[in-house]
Amino acid sequence: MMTRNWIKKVFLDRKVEKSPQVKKILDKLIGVPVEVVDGEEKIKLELRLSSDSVGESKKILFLTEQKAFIRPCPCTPGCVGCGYWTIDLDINCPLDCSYCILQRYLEEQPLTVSVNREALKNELELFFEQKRTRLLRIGTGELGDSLALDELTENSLFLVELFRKKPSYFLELKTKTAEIELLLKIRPEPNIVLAWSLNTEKMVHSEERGAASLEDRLTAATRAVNHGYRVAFHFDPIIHYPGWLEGYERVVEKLFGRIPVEAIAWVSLGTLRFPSDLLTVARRRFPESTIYEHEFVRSWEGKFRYPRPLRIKIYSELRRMFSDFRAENKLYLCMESSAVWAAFLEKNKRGRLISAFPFPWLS
Amino acid sequence: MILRKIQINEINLEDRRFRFTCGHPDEKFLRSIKEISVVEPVKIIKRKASLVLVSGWKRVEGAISCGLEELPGLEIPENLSDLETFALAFYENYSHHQFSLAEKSLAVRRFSDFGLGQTELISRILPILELPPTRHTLEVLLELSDLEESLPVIHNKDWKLPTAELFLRFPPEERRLMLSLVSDLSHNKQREIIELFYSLKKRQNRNLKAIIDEPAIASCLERFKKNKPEAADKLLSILRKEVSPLVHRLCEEIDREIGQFKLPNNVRLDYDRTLEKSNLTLEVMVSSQEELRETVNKILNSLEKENWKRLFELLYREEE
Repeated sequence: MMTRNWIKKVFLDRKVEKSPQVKKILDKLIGVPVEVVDGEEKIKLELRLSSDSVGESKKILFLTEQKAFIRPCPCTPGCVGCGYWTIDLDINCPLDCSYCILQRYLEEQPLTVSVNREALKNELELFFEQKRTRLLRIGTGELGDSLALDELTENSLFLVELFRKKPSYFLELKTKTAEIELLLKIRPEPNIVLAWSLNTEKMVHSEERGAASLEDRLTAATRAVNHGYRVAFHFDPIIHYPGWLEGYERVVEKLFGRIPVEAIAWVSLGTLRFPSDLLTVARRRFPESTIYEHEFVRSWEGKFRYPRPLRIKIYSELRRMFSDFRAENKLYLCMESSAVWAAFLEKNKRGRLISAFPFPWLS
Repeated sequence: MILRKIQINEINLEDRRFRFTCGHPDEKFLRSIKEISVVEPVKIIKRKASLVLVSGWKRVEGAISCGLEELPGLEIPENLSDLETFALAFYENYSHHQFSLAEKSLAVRRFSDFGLGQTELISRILPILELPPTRHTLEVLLELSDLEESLPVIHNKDWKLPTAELFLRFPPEERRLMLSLVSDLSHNKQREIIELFYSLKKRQNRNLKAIIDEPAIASCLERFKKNKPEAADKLLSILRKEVSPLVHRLCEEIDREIGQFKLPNNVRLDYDRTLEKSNLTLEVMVSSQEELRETVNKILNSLEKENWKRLFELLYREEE
């Protein structure tokens, strides 16, 4: 993807000016103007002056430090959680997907990379110390793409080293890119999971600006598996449009045409959902997109979702597609109500409801 | 500044360069002028050979309505630039007036036309107007300020920014058409109708005219023209049904099933109309133990009916 070609300007937090990690990153951005700042305010002002502050924010890199990195994934009130934890190392994403919630959450936030790795290392060690009792999944793909900036930051390599010899902690690096070259140079571990968000070719083309094609993602996943990594996939958001069923069927067929079931750690399913204030931003930024003009209901937590009978239908079709490849037991739902989980599990005949960790096959 | 009595006909009321407020004198205001005349001086400034009104449009309009020929005026030194003069009008109103979105758009337009730069407008004026300080907001406001025909409705119904932004996505002829339909409705109804029309237009890839020519909507609009107040609710109901066919159809089936039960009058059966929850709620209104027993027995007896089974099937139904 060559992220470095996208970046128009670097803002450097004075507090990290002398950091060796900063020097490494800037060495890869020769020719890009760099300005030292005392905080985010100046950057925010610059972004506000742009007609498309969200689009502009994806071209500005801010190197800074952060106090805390790890937090439980907030899920959504009233949904069945999956016990996921997140590491917020990069905040914001250079990809530009029409459905992305970050457009609203991080409207004036540049591509923010925290370079105080020692602090993260200490925090993780403490975390491993405190969470000893069970298997745990943790990932960097919540507020950004785990690998989109990796050629600059090499954060994946740093994180993998921290998770070596920690078999009960699964590190997930979730991406819509094919940027895995660095990871192919190191030794994999069973608890390092490379994950791809997948969508139909039609949706990748129309809604996922800047992301790798479906073919490229699957090729990258295949290379990862051949190298010895476990992989995961996220069908999220699943979008309902004329031809959706055939579209997702083709994705699932392609997936299992290349990836053996045994190499898959988990697969999440989640249908399109969004808070109402994303609607204004997304309609403005993606006037050609029609994904927001579907039948939605305002669900219990205020988000728009497809009506429950339709969601159940979608999940049940996806489950059928996965069961054709004997992979249905890898599935879980992301941010779904207990009513939908119940309908899903009734067919699955397995698992517990309201489970903090619905992945018994990992144990 | 000089305080003096001015003749209303000294003011060139055609020159509205400083006007950004949209209010007009109401009955109470006029009564007050009739009783005590205009007490608070209006602000004026000399431009070329005539006086231009800076602030006090409502007072001048009220004075004219009440047949006054003069009123107190505070003359601002003419060496003030238009930008400085407008800032005076703006901040004078700002302290005691809650601006509507239409007025905010006009204020921003005036500041911009008088030479205030974009950075100043975004970082200084928009926060004062309690709007997001972004260039996009500024662009929306400037576009809005050009919609002369629409501004009175936007002002009177106190539109919010997202409604206006969506409205601007319609082409001009459709905006006019829509305003002719919704101008008398409350803001909430206007907002919802605009949203529903927008959604239908994009979903069906049709223009607004084609949508409102559909027989059901057209007949509803006929009633509109005859000033039937319930026509707005009918229109909303038709549009909601078109935008949410699945939920609407299922709710109709569930309602039909519930109607078959013939439950006692003190029992109400209800469900979540978004269908997010799959449970029923049963409300029983009783005032004695005996009445409760009797009611529960009636409910238990009704459980033999097949309708209950069908009702739960409907609540758990997967889209086919």
